[in-house]
Amino acid sequence: MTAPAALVTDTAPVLRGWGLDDRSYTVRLGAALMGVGLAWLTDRRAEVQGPVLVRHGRDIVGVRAILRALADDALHPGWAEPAAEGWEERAAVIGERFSTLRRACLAAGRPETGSAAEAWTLLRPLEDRLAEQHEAGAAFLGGAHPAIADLLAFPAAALSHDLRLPHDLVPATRRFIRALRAWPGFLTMPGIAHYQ
Amino acid sequence: MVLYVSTTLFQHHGDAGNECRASEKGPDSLAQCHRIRMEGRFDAAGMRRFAEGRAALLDLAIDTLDVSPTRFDSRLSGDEILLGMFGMACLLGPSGCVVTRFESLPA
Amino acid sequence: MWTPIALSEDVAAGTAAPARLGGAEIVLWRDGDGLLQAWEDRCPHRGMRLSFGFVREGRLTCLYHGWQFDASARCRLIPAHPELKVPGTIRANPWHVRERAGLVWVADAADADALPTLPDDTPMRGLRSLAVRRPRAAVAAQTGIGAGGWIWRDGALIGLHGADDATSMLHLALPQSATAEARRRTMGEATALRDALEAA
Ligand code: FES
Repeated sequence: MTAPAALVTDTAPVLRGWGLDDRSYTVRLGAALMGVGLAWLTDRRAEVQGPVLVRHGRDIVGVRAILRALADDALHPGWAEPAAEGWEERAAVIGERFSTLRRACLAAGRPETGSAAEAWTLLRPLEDRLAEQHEAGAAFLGGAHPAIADLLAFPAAALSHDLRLPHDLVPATRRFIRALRAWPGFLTMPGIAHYQ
Repeated sequence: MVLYVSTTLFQHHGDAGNECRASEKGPDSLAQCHRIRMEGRFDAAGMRRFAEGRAALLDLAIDTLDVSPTRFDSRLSGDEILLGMFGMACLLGPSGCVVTRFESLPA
Repeated sequence: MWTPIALSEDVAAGTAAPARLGGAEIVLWRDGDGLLQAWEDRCPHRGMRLSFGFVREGRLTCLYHGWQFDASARCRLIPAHPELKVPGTIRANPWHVRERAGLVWVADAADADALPTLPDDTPMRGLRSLAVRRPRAAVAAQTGIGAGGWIWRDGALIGLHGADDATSMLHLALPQSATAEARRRTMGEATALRDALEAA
């Protein structure tokens, strides 16, 4: 399987994002995996406020809404499939909360007291779900093809060590990270390598 | 802080008078003998442990000549590349050690 | 003392995985042929976690500066000095490792005889490893898992190890003949067991 070619044209949506922001990364990753062309504009405000997608002259905010808009243009219909049992919504909450905690930790220069405990609370349902999915033969939250729910949860899973939740405790999450990392078009961000 | 690193550190010195363990090394190896001196602020015992541990890891013979909280002086022999790696490791040092002057010269 | 530390299937061929045992960091990795290794999770160069590394051509490669280690734990290539004949003193720090009953077992001293005796004719398949936010001693006391770190319960093998002072991991395996329904049921029971242990 080869990576889908993402064509950046004059009419391509523009992402105003910040390179070290996990939400901006989620959008870049989504566009790359979906094979949707995306122009990038560095905007430091995204570090706090989150990324903004400018598409057809409209500003779209909120990572989930942005991914939904991109999924309309995705080459594979699987991206637009909502994950079962409300997992798209749950993953959106996990991603947002994780992002807030991570910003606080990075600003403090070290994980704050309690952040690891909250990381557990956030990531345990994800680990349980992924273990069940694996048993059912599915690599992702909704099935065998990744969808928006997986993109929303991915930074929290892959960067959980930023909140002192080490990966040895979450083998199903590790498997999920490996599966998405192996998907054609995968992109990295600082803290998330691409090598397997 | 002035960090001085001898410009000879990473150079090959084909010094004929250098009687290191060339015979103990493989035929391809460029065995060298260097006098390595460091100045700075460090815990003497910790620095010694670190240097001797690194030398063992890198298969270098080390003779620690003098060690104090401000000075470390040693003679090392072994492969030239590994001597360079030893020097770099010492410059970075173990935690709590600050090396302000480093010199590595063929002995 | 051999301790179960992971499911065999959680260390896929050609990958590396992190583990901790009583706070000691361990990298588990398999080459492309499936041969398993367990080493201290620390690169002898500058201490990078080897579990962040990648496996290529039967060697574990450190992500930081690319030093490559073969199955004997010896460093075979330093990319910055490809011409260097790397001395045998540069090596990772191996643990003893075995696979038995669907689980990975490690020991810091060779003591293969101390491996638990399991029915040889019952091939097992790992089901799930799950973290419990309770110290190992507390989990052992509540589950009846002895010093050997494993117990049979309702046809399932349950292994236990302490990752750090506050966290343990349970490892479940079932006979390969177990039905999908039995596996699903045991999975649910394992989650319930974990939740009960944490609530206690
Ligand atoms: S720390 Fe591993 S190669 Fe440098």
